[in-house]
Amino acid sequence: MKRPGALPGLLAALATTLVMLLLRVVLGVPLPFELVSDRFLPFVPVEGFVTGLGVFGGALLAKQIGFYGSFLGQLLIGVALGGLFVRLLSRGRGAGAAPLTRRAIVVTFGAAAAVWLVTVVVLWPALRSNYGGLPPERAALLSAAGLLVLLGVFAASLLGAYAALRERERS
Amino acid sequence: MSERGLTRGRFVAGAAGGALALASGGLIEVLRRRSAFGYDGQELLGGTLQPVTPTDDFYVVTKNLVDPRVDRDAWRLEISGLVERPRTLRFEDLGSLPSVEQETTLECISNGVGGGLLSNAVWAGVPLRALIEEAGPKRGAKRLFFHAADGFTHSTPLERGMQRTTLLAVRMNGELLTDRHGFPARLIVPGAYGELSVKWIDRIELIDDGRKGYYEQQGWRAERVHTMSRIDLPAEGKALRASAPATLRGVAFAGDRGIARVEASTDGGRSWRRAKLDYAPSKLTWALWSLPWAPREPGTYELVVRATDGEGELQSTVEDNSVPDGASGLHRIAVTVQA
Repeated sequence: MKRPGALPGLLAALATTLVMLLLRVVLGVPLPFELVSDRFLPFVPVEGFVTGLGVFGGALLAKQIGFYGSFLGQLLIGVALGGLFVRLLSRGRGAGAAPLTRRAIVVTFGAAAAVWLVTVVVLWPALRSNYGGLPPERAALLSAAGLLVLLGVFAASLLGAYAALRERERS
Repeated sequence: MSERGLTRGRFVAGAAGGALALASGGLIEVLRRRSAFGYDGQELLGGTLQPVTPTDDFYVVTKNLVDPRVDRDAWRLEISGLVERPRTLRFEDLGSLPSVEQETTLECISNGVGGGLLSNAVWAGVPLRALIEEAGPKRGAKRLFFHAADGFTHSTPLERGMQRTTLLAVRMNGELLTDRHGFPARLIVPGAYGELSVKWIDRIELIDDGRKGYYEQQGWRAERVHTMSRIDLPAEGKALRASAPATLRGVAFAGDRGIARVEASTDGGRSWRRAKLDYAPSKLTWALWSLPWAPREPGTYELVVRATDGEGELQSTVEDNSVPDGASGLHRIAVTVQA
């Protein structure tokens, strides 16, 4: 019997990427890549910063690699997490079993909520930016809400894609 | 049955994935078109140099992948921290404040010797001093900490913010600021490297601690522009004719200290001739210089330029890259003179 494999993870990552891009283009909510670099780049000493840019062929090329690479990286992380999720959920369950249990749903959304909380705490100073010009306090709330939406979309679409594929398998 | 079901399921999933990827690709393209990739770090050099740089040619160096597009109605400027009267201004409020116009050159701290990351524009806006005085700094306020919409931050001593020439600019070359130059408002801090002229500014905080901004934390020190000079014409490697008159041209800049003198050498620095300053409207701007030259003999010549700032200090000859406080050293180019 075949399992859905990494497909639910890929679909979830694609759905999350789409929502993330919509938030960035329409509301100016920073991409996770922008938040992470704004949070941590200031801690890189200037000599290391300049050397690092040189390794990537200069600032412009480094930015382009970061821009496109972040989307690719996001898909790869989604696939990896999806694969792990399917493996955990399929363990010891027959082909006829219901695709999802209440426990699986609670654990998945719980994990998403936990990741959100950690992310907000770690990235907090960077959340105050907004590329549409929202004042800092409102920007921070919007960025935090945006991250919650993204993790929620990832969890929901992961569960949904997995359930749909397993349902097909049972039919 | 389950194999067929799964295959059909995978087909549907593949189609959904394809649609999601297509939609995402479209949005990535929207962001790419808005991105700074097309203008970030673009240098303007050579014979096309104008006294006042056209806005579209003015150099941009940004930390961002995609620069902010600030909604004027949503934008607010907050003045807070150690002040008696914290205030929040809207864009319209700036129009009712006294405005000044000021020509100022900016240079990026990462501009190398002979580099083109400097430009000159006419800025208009409110002296920062007026805003700070109105908010009433409390005793103990020592520094200004600037915040921008893109998360960029920078600090400077309060005295610098109170200088007559430090502006909150809203116009550039007679027009409202463009998005890439910091619309709706940016700082202009003469004498400091460009990173201190914070774009898309949305908060000015008066502080009493040594908090550091984005690049300050990395170790960049942007407070004082080094005196620089550059040869734009003839271009490096250019072949000239013996006895045919040529004109050396270029720029010199010394932050807010002005340029008192530019000298050029055609023999690698053994002898110097004083250049004419064709354009040097104030201490805050660059000086455009020129020097006629008619090489007599064929051969390879090393051209060098040096400037003296308005305080009488000769440009440093110590060659140093831009880390951490801006580049220093003399610009040298080689040209060939043919018979």
